[in-house]
Amino acid sequence: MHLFTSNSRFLLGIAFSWFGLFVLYNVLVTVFPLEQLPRFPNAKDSWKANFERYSGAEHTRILFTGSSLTNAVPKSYLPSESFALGLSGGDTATAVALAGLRSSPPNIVIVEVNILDREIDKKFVESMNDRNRHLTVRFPAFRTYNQPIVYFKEIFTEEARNIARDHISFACGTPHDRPEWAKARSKTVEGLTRVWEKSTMVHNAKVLKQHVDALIERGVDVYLVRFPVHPDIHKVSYYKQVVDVSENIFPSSKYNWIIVNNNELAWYDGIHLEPSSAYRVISRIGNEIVKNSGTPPWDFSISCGSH
Amino acid sequence: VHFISLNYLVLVGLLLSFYYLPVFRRAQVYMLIVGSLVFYGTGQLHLLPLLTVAALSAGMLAWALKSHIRHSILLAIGVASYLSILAFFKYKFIPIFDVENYANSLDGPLRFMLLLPLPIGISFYTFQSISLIVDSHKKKYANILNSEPNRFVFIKNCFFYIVFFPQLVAGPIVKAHDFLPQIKPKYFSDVNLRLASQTIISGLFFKSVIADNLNVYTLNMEQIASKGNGNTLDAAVLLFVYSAQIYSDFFGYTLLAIGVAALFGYRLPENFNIPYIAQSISEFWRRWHISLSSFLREYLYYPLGGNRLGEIRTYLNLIVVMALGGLWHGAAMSYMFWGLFHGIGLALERPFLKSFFFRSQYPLMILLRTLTVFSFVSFAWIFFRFPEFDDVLSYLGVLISSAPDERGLLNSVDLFIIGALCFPVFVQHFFVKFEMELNTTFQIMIYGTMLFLFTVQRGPTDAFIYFQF
Repeated sequence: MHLFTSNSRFLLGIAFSWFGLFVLYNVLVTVFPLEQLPRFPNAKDSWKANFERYSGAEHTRILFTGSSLTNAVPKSYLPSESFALGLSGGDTATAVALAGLRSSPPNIVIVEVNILDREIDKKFVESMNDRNRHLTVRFPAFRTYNQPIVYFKEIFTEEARNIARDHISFACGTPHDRPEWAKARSKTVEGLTRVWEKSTMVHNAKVLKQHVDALIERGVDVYLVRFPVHPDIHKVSYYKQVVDVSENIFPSSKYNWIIVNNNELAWYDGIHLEPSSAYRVISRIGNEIVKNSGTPPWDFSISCGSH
Repeated sequence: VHFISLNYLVLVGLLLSFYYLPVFRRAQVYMLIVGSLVFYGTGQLHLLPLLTVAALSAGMLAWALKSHIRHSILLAIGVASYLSILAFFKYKFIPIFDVENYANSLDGPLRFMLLLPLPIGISFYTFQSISLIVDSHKKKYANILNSEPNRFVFIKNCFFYIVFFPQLVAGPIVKAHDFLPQIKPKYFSDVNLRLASQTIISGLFFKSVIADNLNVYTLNMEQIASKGNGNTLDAAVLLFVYSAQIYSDFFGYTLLAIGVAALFGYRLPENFNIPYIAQSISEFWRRWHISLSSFLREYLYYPLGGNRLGEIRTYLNLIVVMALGGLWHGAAMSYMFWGLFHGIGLALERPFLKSFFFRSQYPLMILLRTLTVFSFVSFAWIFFRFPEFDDVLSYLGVLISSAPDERGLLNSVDLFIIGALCFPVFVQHFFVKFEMELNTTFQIMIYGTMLFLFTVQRGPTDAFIYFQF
């Protein structure tokens, strides 16, 4: 009997071909890593990619956690040794739970408390646990941000790098409201003006509190922040309820709140900050934390003077 | 119940590790029956008795029909019973009245039955049961069905034919006279491993890499339908993208089913034959979901008279068969409209099939016909994509005219990625159409690449579109 039939040679050929491509691709993405995180058409892919980057960024001292509001802050606006785990379409509790998955959490975690109607995605958090992603941890080719389509798209179009370059040039500009943003803002106001189930918000805030408390217990300095929103949003029931619930669940006597004023800011849609405003808000958060904790000033790569 | 999962891999691996051992040769069918029931039970354990009873009854009815009472009334009762089961479970969800509220006001078994979810694969296993009892009644299949004289073995084989797990939940619909003769002891040396692995790898690639990644973009169709976002170009592009997605999804699934069945020595029918090169709607239906169209032709169109009862009756038969075929997919009017749309298309093109437009062999005319049919089919997918008819109308609204200042949902990078994902569908049609042969080394590289992409570029969703039927 022949040990290798044409069948088995064919199968072995496929296996070798797969192995060769796999090794080559791992080498490629390791030698030429993407500088910026590419955009993903799917929210969960974007979360995964963001978390994979965070879990690989060992020297993270400051971590911003939140929803798309946090994600809207360009990476280049963050101080050195910091990371933004913003989950577009998601909630802060998921981001904080993800932050806690690392064996050595960051020294400072800033928690965005603007959205409380969304539930924690426990299934997603569980799937990101190291024991469920052995292959992703070991082989870069398995990481979401290295998926061939997004990787080559980024290499050929340099889309994310161009956007980042634009952001750097926008950072020190003067924020001003554009007329076309008014339409998006009125849509946001319309979307948030309805009766919200307060009990859902209370429940979600309590879940967030559990994860925040877990981080505090591990010696992390946690700061809660409500990202500034357009004055029109202050009037809607959703925002009022978020303020009410969050202040009850996280009393300022027990938790560090950072109050960021909304002077000279502009928003695409009333809640998501445009770039130069995002830069100002991050600087103000940094100033407040430095002032409260007495730690050295944050080291920003962009310098626009005082905001 | 999922084909691309560790559980499924373990099930297939476990069965294969014992299946070909000489000591288990006589137990091969039992092993596959147990494996199939485990497979189904992991998805819907509480509906396993329904499947078991349906499959056993079909076997017993087939035995009665072929052995003793080759009686039309018994046949009619059998077919009607299976159609009733299908109708009950599938169409109780038609929103004519609130089933849940009604059920809650009742007691006893009816309440229990009304509250049961749609059994997975019911459309497929009831059709196979019908095929079994109809074939048992037909004299032309007597040789095949009489080859097994033992009642117990016959019923066991029939049971196995209906529950065989690779094709249980979404086909291909196998006809009894094609499957039953295949039930015999299997030997590993007879398995074409090369063909089975090529089929499985292609299936994984089409399903997980192409369909699941395209799904990310076609989700925008919901935004168009529900919120009116996007513009006419988005709506048109996404319709064509959905054509590629649904083909890759169902074609990929079918390849997996065929490949896994081949590992156990069974041949399932081909379900697709590069459908998007069809030059007429009738040709499309000879290439798309072949097992369903052939089932409808054999068990519905011909019994209704086919094309033997004059032109008008032929058109009517086509429309009725296609409308019922549409309704088979689900309890929603839009599925019926999808079938009707195709039925009317078939009836309208029929008188012109011998005209210059359909017979000309000029390349430009061939291209024109192919594009016309592809556009027709893609347009019809709107009804398929949106079970709610209001959504269909909203989508059509955007497709016909969108607000001039409405921002597009797809940017140039999205279009580039969509193009890259649809490219293999185009290449596959092209290669098969021109019967292009590749040498072995090149084939190995292609299958290696497909497997590599399956491991690193799987799409975020994993639901099979046809599992809902």
